[in-house]
Order: sequence, then structure tokens, then C-alpha cells
Amino acid sequence: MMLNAPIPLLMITPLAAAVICMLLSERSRLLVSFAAVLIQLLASLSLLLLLLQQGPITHPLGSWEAPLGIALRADGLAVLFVLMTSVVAGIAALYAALYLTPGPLRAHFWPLFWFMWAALNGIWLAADIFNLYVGLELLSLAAVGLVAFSGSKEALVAAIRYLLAALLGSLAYLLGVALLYGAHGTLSLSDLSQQMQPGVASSIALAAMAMGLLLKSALFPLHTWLPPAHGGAMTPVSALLSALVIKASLYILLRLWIELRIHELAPDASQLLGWMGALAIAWGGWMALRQTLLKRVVAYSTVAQIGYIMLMFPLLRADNAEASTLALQGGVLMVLSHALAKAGMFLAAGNLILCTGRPELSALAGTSQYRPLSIFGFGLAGVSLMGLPPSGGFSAKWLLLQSALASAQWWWIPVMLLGGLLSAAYVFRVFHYSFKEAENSDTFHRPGVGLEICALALSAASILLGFIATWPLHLLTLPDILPLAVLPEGSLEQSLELLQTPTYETLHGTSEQQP
Amino acid sequence: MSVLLDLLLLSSLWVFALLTLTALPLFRGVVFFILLGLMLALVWIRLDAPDIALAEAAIGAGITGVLLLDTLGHLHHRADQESSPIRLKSSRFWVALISSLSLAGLLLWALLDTPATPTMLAEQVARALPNSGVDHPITAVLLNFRSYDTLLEIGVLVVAILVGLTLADKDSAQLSLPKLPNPLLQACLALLVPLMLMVSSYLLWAGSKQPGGAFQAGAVLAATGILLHLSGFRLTLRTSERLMRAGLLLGFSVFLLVAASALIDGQPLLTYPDHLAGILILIIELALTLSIGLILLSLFTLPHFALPEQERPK
Repeated sequence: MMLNAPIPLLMITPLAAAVICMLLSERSRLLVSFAAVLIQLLASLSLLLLLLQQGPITHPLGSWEAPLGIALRADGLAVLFVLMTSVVAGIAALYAALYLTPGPLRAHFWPLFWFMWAALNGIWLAADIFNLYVGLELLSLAAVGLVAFSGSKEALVAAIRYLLAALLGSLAYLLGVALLYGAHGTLSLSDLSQQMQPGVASSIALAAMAMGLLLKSALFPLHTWLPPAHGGAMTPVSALLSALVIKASLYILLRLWIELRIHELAPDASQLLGWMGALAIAWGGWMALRQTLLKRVVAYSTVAQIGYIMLMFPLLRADNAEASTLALQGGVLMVLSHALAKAGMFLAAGNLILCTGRPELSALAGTSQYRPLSIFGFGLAGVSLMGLPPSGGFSAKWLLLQSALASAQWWWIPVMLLGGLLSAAYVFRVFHYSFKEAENSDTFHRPGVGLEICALALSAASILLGFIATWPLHLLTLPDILPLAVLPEGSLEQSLELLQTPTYETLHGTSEQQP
Repeated sequence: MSVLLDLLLLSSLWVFALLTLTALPLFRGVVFFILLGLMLALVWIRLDAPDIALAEAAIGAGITGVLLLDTLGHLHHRADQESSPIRLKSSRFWVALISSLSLAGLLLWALLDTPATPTMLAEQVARALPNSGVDHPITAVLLNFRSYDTLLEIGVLVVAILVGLTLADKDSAQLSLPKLPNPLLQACLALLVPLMLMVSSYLLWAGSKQPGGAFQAGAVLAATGILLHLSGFRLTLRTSERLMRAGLLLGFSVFLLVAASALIDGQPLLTYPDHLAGILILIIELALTLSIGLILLSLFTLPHFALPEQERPK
């Protein structure tokens, strides 16, 4: 009975799990959490089935229709993100259960984890700009708590910085929401997309919202809070933050950009986002090369990868439907593969630190020889981040390259190639340290098999995504969220055909023919 | 006359804001901040938003002010952290000034340019009000039409206290605040506490028909608790942890249960059965008032536990 209503279940389960975890003893918290992870996985799968059978679903909360009440909406994009969250957070939860030693630390992890998951699901399914703000607040506060809860001095300092950045971002977003509401008299995203009137108020509102969201996504040069927070948190938390939490604000930005047709009305803003992304790729990659702590390398790699995701915005062109479709597909695939690869990489890095007992890169000497499995997990994730075939990262970059060619914006191509080289450099630098001969024989600790499997599973999934990429991309067309109105006259049939035969397949075919 | 009043209010807002930013020592800045909050509450009344005025006075000026004063006490306790006066030569000052002025300019421009759209939403609320179970439109929006937002907002409050618990659990000893065994104080409390409890229950009850509701009532409840705490009656997590935790979570749990119960009927989340809407909203508000009061009180009492010596931040 309950599985027929996956949308409410996706919200109720994590919230209830959070409350129950706060009330129970530590041992029971673990059991409740496992049960809830299972329910979340089942609910997201049944949501997927429902979407495939019926198409997009709206869920009017409290039975009040949209402008008066709040609706939840599950279209292809939202369901894709729900699935991504269930996979990554599910595996991270398993890792956390094995990683955290029994005690108050582990007990505190679960309620915060569940609030974070609830906020993520709430954001993916939201269709109301104020509700998105509430979701962002819940997410930020839970994430800050997760950074702080290890209690070390560095963690507390990083958490306070993160809190201030996140609050400033929320405030800017809320300011924009207030202005938009004042100008249009509605908060519902679909109403806004129909009634959007370009004007000074709307422009300033959207600029404020975009600034807030970019600060929360840590796009260069607003990224300074990220490396200490993501690099300094405990390993499962780092994975969750980098893989999922920063995607929430990016997701909202993408929704606004497409549904309110900003890509059409303000192409200059899109170009600006692209250039900030290009700088992020360069700066993040360069800084990752210069770090001495393993997890800081991974954290700066996140700064660079956010840059890749931002490249999708200038490629969403009003005058070129093909380029836009490719850009959207590439960008979303980038988000998915980064979520899997980065979570895998952080978990693998955590395993390596467990092996050596020290957070420095130089401590890795000899790990390739004695702990090949741990370093293998790191390398697999690295393959996807570098964008080597056949990984998900490769497919995403390939689509973005194609889109850049199709819309004749060749200048993004060297940016992507340079970024790939930088990623290769910082991944191989880690390998370089690990291949150094250790002076003495095997003195490393041995992380549990479960921990290794969690890291490997996520890394392998990011590679696997390259093989099955057509499948998530197909979901994006349920419905096609790029408004058809952006297509030039007469090309409607042509582009619809384009959508029916997923663009990716044809491209992948040609890519394989080339030597 | 009313224009004069508005101008007076506006200029006092400016003055208090500037004083808050520039006053030294910090203690004086906090006092001006509380005054600023009270002025803001008056402004909200002038704008015909008594609900926000109540919330601003109780939470924005009251509880926040107390929390700031308390933080100040801790800062003095730990290390001598005095703020430095604003230096006109420092580049940070000019960056801050220019960016805030340009933000203000942009906002003004946006406001002047805002098209006068008919706010259809107010009409929709008025039309749906008879079916909402309450007579006050704000309460109807907060606990029926947009109850999902409120549910998540309560979640935010719970997370805030959760983070506080997480950080406070590491320590054991309670900082000893000086008790005030003052007979006059006791006598005042004997009069004040029942009065405050009555105000709190009235605000809660009034919420269904006029300005008031769980947030304001909870804030007054918290203020009562803080007053008792300051005069030596300790009601903290240590006294009975289980009970306190249950109290903190009561509002959120009740809300969540009511939200989920709609699923049994196959209705969308948070749907109240028609004839039960009023009573369900009252039950939720009652539980929320208690929890909000306890949460705000705990935010105040939690830092009164000392960190163990070795972990004390320097």
C-alpha cells in the first residue's frame, strides 16, 4: 500500500528515522537506519517505475493546489537525483556504520545524516521557490552539524566558516525569492515560468538567488569555505558533502535557469557562469596539485569538478536545440558521475588514511605494494574524474565537447582538455607517492573488507555509468524540461526525432569508430 | 500625523542600526541590537503585519538578544575578546560600506520597478479559509495551506538543537552561574511566571482567530524558562535527559504523525480530514508551542556546560 505512494515515503522515512534515532539507544539507531535505508531504496525504485509507467507525477501537499499550497513534483530530472542520492547515501551509510567506532560520535551521526537525506529529497522534489529555501536551510544546517560533530578544533573552525558562507548564501537566495514574489505574486515554479516578466526587479532577484546558490555550490572564487570543510570532516561525511550536498544548490540553479528561461533571456549571464567554471577548473586543479594532505587533494578536485558542471550553462543556447540538449545531458551526466566518483574517492582516501594512520600524502609510500586494493579504489574513481573512457566522466565530457562544437563555442574545448590534464596530474601525483618504496616492510593497518568494498562499489559504479549512460539520459526526456518554445520555427519535428533516438547513442557510435 | 510617525520610526531604525554597528564595547552594541529589534516590531505593526511584529519582538529582539548577551558573557569568561573600533583607513571598511550601499541601491531600484501585480494569492487564501479549520489567514497558511514548509522549518529548529546537543555532549561539568538568592527577585518571579504562562497560552489560543500562534507562544514560554534559569532554577538536559529530549521532539513528532496519517486514507501528505482540521491544527500548535519553548530554552542553557580542559578552544 505504502509503496504506491513513493513521494510521501521519500520525505516521511528520513524525517521519522531522524526523530526515532534521537530517541533510541545507540545500538537501535543502527538497526533503524538500516531499515530506513532499505525503505528509501525501495521507494526510489518504485518512484522510478511509476515515472516510467505514468510520466511525471505531482503530489499536492495537503490536497491544496499549487499556487495556494505546495506541490511536490517528480519528473525525470528529479527522479534521477533521487536515485543518485539513494545509491550514494545508502553506501555512505554502510561505510559510516563500519567506520565510526561505537560511542557518542556514532550515535550523533545518524540523526544529522537523516535530516540531510530528508532535505536532499525535499529539494529534488520541490516545485516551489520558497520551499526550496526551507530545504536549503535544513540541508545547510545538517551539513554544518556533520562537519562539526567530530569536535576537533579544526573541524569547529571549518564548520563555522561553512555556516557563515551557507547562511549568507541562503539569505541572498531568500532576498531573491521575496523580490520575485513581490513582482509576480506566486511562489510556484511552474506558475513563475509562465508569468515571468523580464524587468529590473526580476533581474536583481535572479542575480541575488544565483549568487547565493553559487556561494553554496562553492564555485570559484566563492569556494574558499569548501576545502577545509570537505577535507577536514570525517570520511563518510566528506563523501556525502562532496557528492550530494553541493549538488543541491547546483540543481536549484539549473532548474531556475531552464524553467525561468534565463538561458534564453540572459545569455551573457550564462557565459559568465561558464567562465567562472573555467577558472574553477584551472584553480581547483592547480591547488589540488599543491596540497600535502590527501583529503585536501580530493576536496580541491571537487572545486575543479564543479567548474565542469558549470560549463553546461553557456552551452544551453536558445538558438540551438541540439547543442542545448547535448549540454543538458552532458551536465547532468557530469553531476551523476562526479557524485559516484567523488564519493568513491573520498571513501578510498579514508581507507588509505586508515592504512597509514596519517593524513599526509607522503605517508602513502609503499601502499601500492602492500595495500593495492585501497589504492585501486582511488584509481578507479580517478579514471572517471580524469574523463578517460569508458567511464561516466568520459561520456559526460564527450557530450559537452559535442555541444561546444555544435554551438560553435570552440573556446570551451581547450578548457576541458586542460582540465582533464590537470585532473590526471593530481591523481597521478597521489599514485606517485604510493609507488615510492617504503623503508620498512608492511607496517600498515588493514581497513575492514566492508570499507574497501564500499569505496570500490562507488568507484566502479562511476565507471559503469559510462556503459549505461543512455539510460539515465533517457529519463531526462520525461518530460523534456528544456521548453520547446526555445526551438526555432520548423525545427520542432526534427528535434523531437532527435529526442526519440537518444543523441548519446549515435555519438557513442561515432566515438568508437574513431581510433 | 502618520507620515510623521513613519519618518520617526524609519530614522530611529537607521540610528539604531548604525549604533549597533559602531557601539563599543560589544555589550552596548547588543543592547542597541535589542532596541533595533523592538523598533522593527513597531515598523511591522505600521505595515499591518502584527504576526510578524509579535515574532520579531519575541524571537528577533527577545530570545536572540538574550543569546547574544549570553555569548558575550562566555567570551569574557574564556578570553578577552574585545572588538576594535571601526577604522576609516582600513580597506575592509570601505569594501563593506560600498558593497552594502550598492546592495541597498539595487534593492531600492528593484522595489521602485516592481510591477503592481494583483496578488491573487490573498484572494485564494480568503476563498479557501472556510475550509481550513481556522479563521486567521496567517495560521491557515502556516499550518494548513503551506504546512509542509512549517514542518520542515520545525525540522530546522530540531537540527539546530541537535547540533547543540552534539557539541555539548562532550563535556560534563556545568558552569556555575552565580545564583541570585534575592527575596525581591523571588517575589517578582512569583508574580511574573504565572502571568507569562498565561500570556503564552493566550497567544496560542488566539492564533486560530487573530495574530498569535505557536511560534510567539513558544518564544514567551522560552522566555519564562530563561528567566527561571537565570534566577537559579535549573531546568536543563542534565536534570532528566530522556524527558527533555522527548519534549524537544514532541512538536515535530506530532506534526509528522498527523502528516503521515493522511497516507492511510490514500490522501496526499498533510491532508487533514475536513471536520477534524481545526482540532488537528490546535493539537499540532499545542505540541509545537511546548517544543519551540523547550528548544529555544535549550539553545540558551546548552552552552552553560563547560568544555573539558584539554578541548577548550584557545
